[in-house]
Amino acid sequence: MSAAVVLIVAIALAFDFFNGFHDAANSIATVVSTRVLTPRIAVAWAAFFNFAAFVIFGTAVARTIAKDVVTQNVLSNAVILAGLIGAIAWDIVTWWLGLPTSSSHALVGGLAGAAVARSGWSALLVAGFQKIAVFIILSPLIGLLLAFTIMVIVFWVFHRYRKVDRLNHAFRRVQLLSAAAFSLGHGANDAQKTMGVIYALLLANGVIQQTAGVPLWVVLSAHTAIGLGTMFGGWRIVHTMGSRITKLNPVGGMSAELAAASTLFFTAHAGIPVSTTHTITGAIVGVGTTQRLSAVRWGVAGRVVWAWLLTIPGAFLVAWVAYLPFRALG
Amino acid sequence: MTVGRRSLFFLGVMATCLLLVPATPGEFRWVNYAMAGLALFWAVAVGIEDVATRRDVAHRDAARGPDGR
Repeated sequence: MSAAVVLIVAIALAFDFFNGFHDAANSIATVVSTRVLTPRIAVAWAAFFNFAAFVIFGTAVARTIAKDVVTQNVLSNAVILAGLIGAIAWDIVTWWLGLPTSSSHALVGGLAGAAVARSGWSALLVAGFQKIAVFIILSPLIGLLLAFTIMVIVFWVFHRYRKVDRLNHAFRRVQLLSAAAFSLGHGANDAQKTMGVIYALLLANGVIQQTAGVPLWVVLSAHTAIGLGTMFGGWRIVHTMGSRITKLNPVGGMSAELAAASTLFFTAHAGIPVSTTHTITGAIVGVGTTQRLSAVRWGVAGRVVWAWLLTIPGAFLVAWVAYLPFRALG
Repeated sequence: MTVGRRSLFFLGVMATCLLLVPATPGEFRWVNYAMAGLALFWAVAVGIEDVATRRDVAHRDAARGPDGR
């Protein structure tokens, strides 16, 4: 492996760490806002399950990132580095503004921007982009509908139960499991995006064969990086997700996490890179909708949607600009 | 009879899922259909609940009489 490859792997892992820092806070927002766990313990809980995800899930999402976003012949060290720069720059700006945007889509936008800067629009693989684009919209809707359904089922099953305090206490314990499930889904989805970048880099440099799978050291290092990132999580975003979209109780938190986790398990299995942020936001809106539409703070949700819409074009543009010096150098 | 806001919201979700069908790769279209079906189910269920709630309120108001007692 050349020094350039080692350097880009290190930057990709730094991106993964920052992804944990930026995104993984979402997986603990509901347990913190419902006071089931203190922030410190919640962070450790989520980090552990982020890491443990590598035991359960495959590498389908990593393959999509490496092989279905841009054509293989356009991938080079410079393209991957510029793509990472685009994604990291976009993440830093949105983190600074406290916006829960998607690191995953920033990465897809970044890779696409750098690839287009190198070889023009023909570098993009339409089918792969189409799959990712459709699920940008579908994943929060799935989360929303599943969360609403779980909430209604819970209300229906327990509507005659009068000891509300005991019920809430029981759900606080169940929420520990749902938070763990969501962190597993988050680890599976988000760590795999970095795996995908490193996998693409190794393929482009001929370090591994085209037919080879994702090496185990890549899988382990990506999960370790996201787990560590979660440990140092970003509290600005916890605040937005946990309390500003709608007010949550333990039952609502459990429903939102279970719905989002189910969505993430499906997409990880199907190899679709989706945003955990999108999914949990949709699920939290679904929980709020069981009360009434006005229980959802649509102003905040709308700001989040704008950030989503701008993520791919924003990261695309930064990566496109970041590639220009490499092009000038030949 | 008017359709409640939540029913309209779920109808909007259903329409979005169906509008995305042509853009969704063939192997995943069942997701769009399943979610559109679920959204339609909740639009109807929430609509029925809204109508029943409004009827209950109207009955209660009628039982109280014009002086509100």
